[in-house]
Amino acid sequence: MLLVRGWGVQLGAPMALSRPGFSVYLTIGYPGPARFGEVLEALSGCVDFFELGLPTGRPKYDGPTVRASHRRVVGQGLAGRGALRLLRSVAVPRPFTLMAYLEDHVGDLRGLLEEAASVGALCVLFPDLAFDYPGMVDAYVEESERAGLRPCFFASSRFPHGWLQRFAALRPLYVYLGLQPATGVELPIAVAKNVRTARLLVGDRYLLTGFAVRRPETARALIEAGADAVVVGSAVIRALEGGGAGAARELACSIYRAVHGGGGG
Amino acid sequence: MVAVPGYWYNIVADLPVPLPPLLDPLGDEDSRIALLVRILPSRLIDEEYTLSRLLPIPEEVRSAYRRAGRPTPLLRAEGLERALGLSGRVRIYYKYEGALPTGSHKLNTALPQVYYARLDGAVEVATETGAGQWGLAVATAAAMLGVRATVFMTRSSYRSKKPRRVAMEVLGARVVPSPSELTEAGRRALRERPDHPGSLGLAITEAVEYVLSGERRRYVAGSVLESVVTHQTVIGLEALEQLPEEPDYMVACVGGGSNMAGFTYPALGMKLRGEGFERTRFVAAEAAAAPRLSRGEYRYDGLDTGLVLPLARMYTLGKDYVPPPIHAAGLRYHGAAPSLSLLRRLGLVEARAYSQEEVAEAARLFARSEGIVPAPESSHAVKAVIDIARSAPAGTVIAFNLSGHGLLDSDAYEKLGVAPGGGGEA
Repeated sequence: MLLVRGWGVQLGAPMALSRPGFSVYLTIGYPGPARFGEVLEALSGCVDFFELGLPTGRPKYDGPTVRASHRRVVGQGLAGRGALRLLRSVAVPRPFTLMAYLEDHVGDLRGLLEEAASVGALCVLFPDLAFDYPGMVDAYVEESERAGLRPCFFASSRFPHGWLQRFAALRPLYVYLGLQPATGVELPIAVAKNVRTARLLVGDRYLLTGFAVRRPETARALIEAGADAVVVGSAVIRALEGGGAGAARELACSIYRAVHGGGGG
Repeated sequence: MVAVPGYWYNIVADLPVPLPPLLDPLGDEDSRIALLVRILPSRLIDEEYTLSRLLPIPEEVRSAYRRAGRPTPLLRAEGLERALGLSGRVRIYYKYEGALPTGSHKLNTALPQVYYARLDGAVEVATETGAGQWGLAVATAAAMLGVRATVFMTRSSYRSKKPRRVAMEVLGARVVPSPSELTEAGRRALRERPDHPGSLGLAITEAVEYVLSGERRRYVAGSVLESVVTHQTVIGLEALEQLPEEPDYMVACVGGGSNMAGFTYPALGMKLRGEGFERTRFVAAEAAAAPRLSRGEYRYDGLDTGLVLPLARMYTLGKDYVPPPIHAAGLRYHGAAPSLSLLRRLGLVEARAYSQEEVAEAARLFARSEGIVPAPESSHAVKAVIDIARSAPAGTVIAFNLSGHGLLDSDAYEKLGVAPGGGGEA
């Protein structure tokens, strides 16, 4: 088991990301600041940990659904680190990590990481770190550890092998493999093959997979290919939009069961 | 005898830093990336997003490669060495892709892409072409594999490159001058500029729009995409087996980058992995009329003029840049493959830009010393090789890719005055 600090330390006990694990991505404050906590609560029974995104006006790697969620939240006046204040008033019912674009925070990385730690995040994932700021990886690791966080890294499905090995050597909370070119966008890509390759390169590090996972059988196949965990975002957001928290919970629970070996039904 | 390789090489696995992803423009609600599934052959998309270092070449494609004459020869340019007065001082080798039936390297990716389109159930492929090498390759692959082809040919080349246009039509392809009346993008361009000479960026937009407007069509890409440049590594993989010694320089011309990438990436990959080619310098020769690697900006830009396709981070002159109608029409593209751009950015690839006049002189020298009329595009590489050879110390070894012959480019050489009957006009 992988021991982590942060959320667990707050509760006085070391926490572990479960293997296998299931995570739901939500933009902080979505679908609205008042309902955000209620949605988290509704999903919490079928989620091992949450991935929460800092709302931004430039969600550059995200697909249409997640971009729309950012637009909605930003339109309601919640953006960037200001959104973390919401996490102080909403008790996130499961462990969580944060996702933010480094582009938005490069001028105050330390401040963001310290504040993330103070609200109980386990790590802050910057999906643009390796692509746009490859020279800042060591600084990110150092600042994360200084703030009491573990580093976590994003890699795409066209990524140098040496970098996946480098990430693994930095003892991350997880390496997140983006299976598709953008969140919620599904192209005909042999994702299981890429997971197998990534597994060989990161060894026994926690391998989180996501982007356009929307079905229980897909999630199960990813675990069988060697992923430790699966994260779903766009599909849950679409379910929320279409059928409310109940529909989102139903989808999350079906994928949770598939990930944990209980079938998707 | 060297065999046709069993795999292609994907340099993304060995890059010193990660390759920036393709992006959707931030202001848009629709995803151009999602649209790729309706545009490109499925297997090409899979090859675009793979962690694998080596991609197996389907047996059907290997077989087609053999039918087309692969492996192509690697030759020693003894005549050129003599003509330069450098015999015994500098050794020059070239990989001759002009030996393929279409006269250029373009068939190396046309065959797999058309094959992949057919696997998707497509009955027609569409594409763009500049000088016609790519269009001719697609027309040939389509004829070999039994699908229809529609080729949007930049209007300036449509007028000047009649032999290739006719050859495409003989092969069964429909050739349309771009901008055309067939698409909204073409009609808009013609409204704004009735004498528009066309550009590769605009022709791509037209071909993609055409594919999206019909059923069972797929767009096949001539360059720039990582999967496409990966297909071209069949050139460099063969060259690794054929080269008798490690070169000090590896040189190729650059349009979108597939020729340069295809020839150099296998060796460059070995360099990146510390397995050889430590002293080798990789030189891209481009047209001064479209000097994206020499003078372009490294930033996100459209792969096509109409922004139908996603954005890529690359060296670019701007998606709306319309290069002057130079005779090396295959080099008239505003950007370069993202991986090649990144390698240039990192200083692992050098770039040199040449005017068509100095390139013409190099072509003449090469033709008269080696007995091969080089394609105007390939002549940029010849020019770079000559420059390097003349200033290189004794013992220098140079290898370059002669990406095509110029037997169908008589118009260009006549206008440039390379042929005695030519007027020398630019």
